[in-house]
Amino acid sequence: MANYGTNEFKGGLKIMLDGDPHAIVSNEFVKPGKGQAFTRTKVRNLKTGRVVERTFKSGDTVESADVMDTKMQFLYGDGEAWHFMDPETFEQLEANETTVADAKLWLLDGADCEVTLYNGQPLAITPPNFVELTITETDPGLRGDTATGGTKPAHMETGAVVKVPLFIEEGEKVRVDTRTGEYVSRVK
Amino acid sequence: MTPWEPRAPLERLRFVASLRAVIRAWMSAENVLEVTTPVLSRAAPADLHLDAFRTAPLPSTPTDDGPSTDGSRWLQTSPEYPMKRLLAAHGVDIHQIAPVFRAGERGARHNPEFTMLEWYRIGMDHNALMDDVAALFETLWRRFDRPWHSPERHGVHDLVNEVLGAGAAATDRGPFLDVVQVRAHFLAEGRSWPASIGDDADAALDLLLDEFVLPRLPRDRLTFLHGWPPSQAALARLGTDAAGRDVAERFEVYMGALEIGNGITSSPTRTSSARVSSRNSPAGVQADARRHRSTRACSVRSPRVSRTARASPSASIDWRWRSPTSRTSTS
Repeated sequence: MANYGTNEFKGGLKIMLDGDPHAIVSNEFVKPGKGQAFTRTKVRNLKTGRVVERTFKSGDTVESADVMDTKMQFLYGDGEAWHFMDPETFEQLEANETTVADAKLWLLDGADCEVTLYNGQPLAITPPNFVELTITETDPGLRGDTATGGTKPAHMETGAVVKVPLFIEEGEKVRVDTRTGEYVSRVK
Repeated sequence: MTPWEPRAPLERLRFVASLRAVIRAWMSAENVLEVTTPVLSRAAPADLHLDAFRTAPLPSTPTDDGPSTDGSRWLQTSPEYPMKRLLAAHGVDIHQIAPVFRAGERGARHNPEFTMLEWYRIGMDHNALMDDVAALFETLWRRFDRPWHSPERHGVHDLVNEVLGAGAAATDRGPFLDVVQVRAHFLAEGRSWPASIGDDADAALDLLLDEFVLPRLPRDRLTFLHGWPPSQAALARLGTDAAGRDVAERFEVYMGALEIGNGITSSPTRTSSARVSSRNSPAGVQADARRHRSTRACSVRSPRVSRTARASPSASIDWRWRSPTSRTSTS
């Protein structure tokens, strides 16, 4: 496994710290005029998502983390495992509920996702930025009310609950931003 | 296509030009002669934490007798050595505004090339030199209509004790800092501590200052930090402070948390020379530099230098700002 020196640090670099894979969020070169140089970083633990500060002495090396993002297709979830397939090799793998986390609220069978692999095992699932989902349950629509800007909760076919405008009806399809969980538009 | 436009606007160029003019006028009024010395050197500096750029091999000449076997040269990290030669030979105050180069230093506050003002004062010690620095800055500040406040002065011992508790910094001889105590403080404050510091008290002091002291320095005035441990003497003379502690006669000057310069009293009989780094390989230079730092100032005696030594100690300051031209050279 490759090692990185502090002068190779940059945002996005995947490294091993305390036995967990981390991604460098930001790094800063610090040096007194004639003194020891340091690199101060913010790193995100890819297992927990927590961001912490870490300081390195210039010249320190860290092991690279065997982490890669791959495009995979979501096949189906059976309640215990979520199954994904590499569209090129047709290789399949399954992720558990902890790994799928909130992504499961957005996943329709067949959706293209980004799967972060660590040592070949799924570490995190990132759903598409935008998904189009059918509303399975919501209060009756207030026809023509496009002006007041009021919202109501709506249940999606995947289980997510999204605030939608009052004029949206049950059975309609809406476009949602998965990063914020917000309604974007009606899909016709 | 690479954009050709320089990033320095014309008004910035005019500002830097007028800065230089004010500095030169001040130096002239103080009778500090402006000099120019070679930027390329046959040897790299001895400082442990400074890396120099090296040129490609150059044709050798019959007069080549230096350490460099392939004729290559090093770009100066400061004009210190050639200026000290002038000082030793002529014994008058000198200054220079020089381009300097440091390999491996790059970040929001560091450029591998920048401009440095370096000057030498015969007969001043570092205390008088702090006043000298303040006088130049006051002139600059007033010339450019910035509000001027008297600088603060702090001993490094006192600042360390303020952070770690009384008695943390060495009161007499012995190690300046207990690295274990510094590390414990970092962990207690939830700060990250690089394990590779090991028992390196100098690195521990550098990081302690950067994390806990420098952010508290005032932004509206200069701060002088003096009383550095002998292990961080660089080329400064060793002495004792008012409390009888061993210190290097050296200071650093800050604007807020940003170090903008440093000054030393050098006793030329103890002046190190470029011969310290006479090895060709960078590794040899590093090894020499390490030994150099741990044995305080290296004393390479040179008859020409010691002449000034007996006459009077000299003090030097370098002050740097980011070169406005440096960024235009990227392609």
